[in-house]
Amino acid sequence: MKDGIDAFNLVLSNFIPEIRLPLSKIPKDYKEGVEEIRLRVNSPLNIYYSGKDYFVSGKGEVSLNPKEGLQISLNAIEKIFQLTTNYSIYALSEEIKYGFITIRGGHRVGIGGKIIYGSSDIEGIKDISSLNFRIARQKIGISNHIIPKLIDKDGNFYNTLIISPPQCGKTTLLRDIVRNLSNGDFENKYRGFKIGVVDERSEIAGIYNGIPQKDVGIRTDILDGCLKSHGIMMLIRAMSPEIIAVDEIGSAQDAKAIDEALRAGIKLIATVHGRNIADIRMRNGLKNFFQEKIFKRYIVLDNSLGVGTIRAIIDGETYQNLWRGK
Amino acid sequence: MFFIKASLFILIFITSTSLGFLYGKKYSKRVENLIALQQGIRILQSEIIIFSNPLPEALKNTSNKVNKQIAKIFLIIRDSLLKNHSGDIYYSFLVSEIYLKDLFFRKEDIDLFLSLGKMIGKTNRLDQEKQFNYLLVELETLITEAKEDRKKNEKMYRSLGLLLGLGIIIILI
Repeated sequence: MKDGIDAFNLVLSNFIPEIRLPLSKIPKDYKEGVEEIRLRVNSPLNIYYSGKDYFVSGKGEVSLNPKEGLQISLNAIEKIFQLTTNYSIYALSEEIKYGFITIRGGHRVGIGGKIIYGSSDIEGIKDISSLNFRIARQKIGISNHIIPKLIDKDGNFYNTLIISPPQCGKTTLLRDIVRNLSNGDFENKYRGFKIGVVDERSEIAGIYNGIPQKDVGIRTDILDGCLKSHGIMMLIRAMSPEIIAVDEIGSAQDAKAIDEALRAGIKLIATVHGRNIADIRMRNGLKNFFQEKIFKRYIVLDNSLGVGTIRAIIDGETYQNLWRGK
Repeated sequence: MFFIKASLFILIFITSTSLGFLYGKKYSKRVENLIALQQGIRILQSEIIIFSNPLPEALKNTSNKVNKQIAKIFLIIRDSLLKNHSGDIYYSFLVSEIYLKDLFFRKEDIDLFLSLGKMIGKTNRLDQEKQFNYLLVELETLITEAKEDRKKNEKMYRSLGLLLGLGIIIILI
């Protein structure tokens, strides 16, 4: 729980006193569980907690009523953006182009504003009008009890797909599975695997200044800020991973790169947005995987019992639910 | 009696000449400091454009590569950025204004330097480079003017000091 508050406080260190003080006064439970802090120009200070939007007043009171929220000015957003970038937008312009930056602690800040197009691509964002601080909380150990279901009797890893709606903890679960598989476990008799992570949005390992801010295991190599389609090919060529881990697959390019990895004998663990198998099996970029029964395990998440509830672990051959837990 | 008079005349001459030299020195000091500041801004530009170092680190690195007097400007700004945590770079530049006034800079020199605080760190590298280049061109103009001022005034004040001393001595004789 202390980690939750530490993560919250670390994010607050990017805020100017006018916003930091009210947020530092919100009740402890909120501090531990806040998933997002949203700042929008001329809108109330907003936090996202336990599946609901709350508003924070100037005195740090939390309410569902937007009228009670502290109004955020353009000036405040500009100053917080300066602090978030360590007064160095020039050093982060490549990341800003993609609409987010990663800050100390591996937390991600989404950016809204006016998009500037160059001759061929987005050049940057100006007139920043909203910031979304996503607090990445590492939950070490949440995958301990499911790892045996992802490994066959010979100790080989099953290709696994985590299916989850947004904000149900799929990246958190993926990160912990990667950590477990990378470290290995002598007691449960599975060895450590060499894992390559393609962390397109710096969310899995939360790399900041070259250092992973999250524990992703001792045998894990990370390609940070790299397109999945590029990263998978680079890992195959250079790092000889046994397992490749990627977040949020779905495009045709991803599918092509994954196909290459599978042909090279590499196992895969990935996540995808969706509510269940039926929701995703006919999607372009995914349907071939279902036809060829590439994934041997599907982990379905929701937030019915809180963020990160495992609703089912489905066998990819028989489509039987192997999960009996709560 | 003669000895006392001679000593007094020498003292008047030395004081008046020194005053002339001191007054004239502010012109050469301004040129010196503007050139050193220009060097500092160029180093800061490299720190940002070439090395992409975060601003506080870029200011620290710059302060290590310029003379002590100019280094202090960059350190004042850096310390203010880290200490005040205000998210306002220009404010931190303003903190250095009092110190800038001690370095024989004129208002236009100070205003130009402070304008750096309004743009630095706020745009991408390409735009930062353009803004630095513009500022350095403006600074070059000020240096040229300062050199002309020095040429015109430094010698004049030195001569004035000398002549004033001689004049007083002649009157007293």
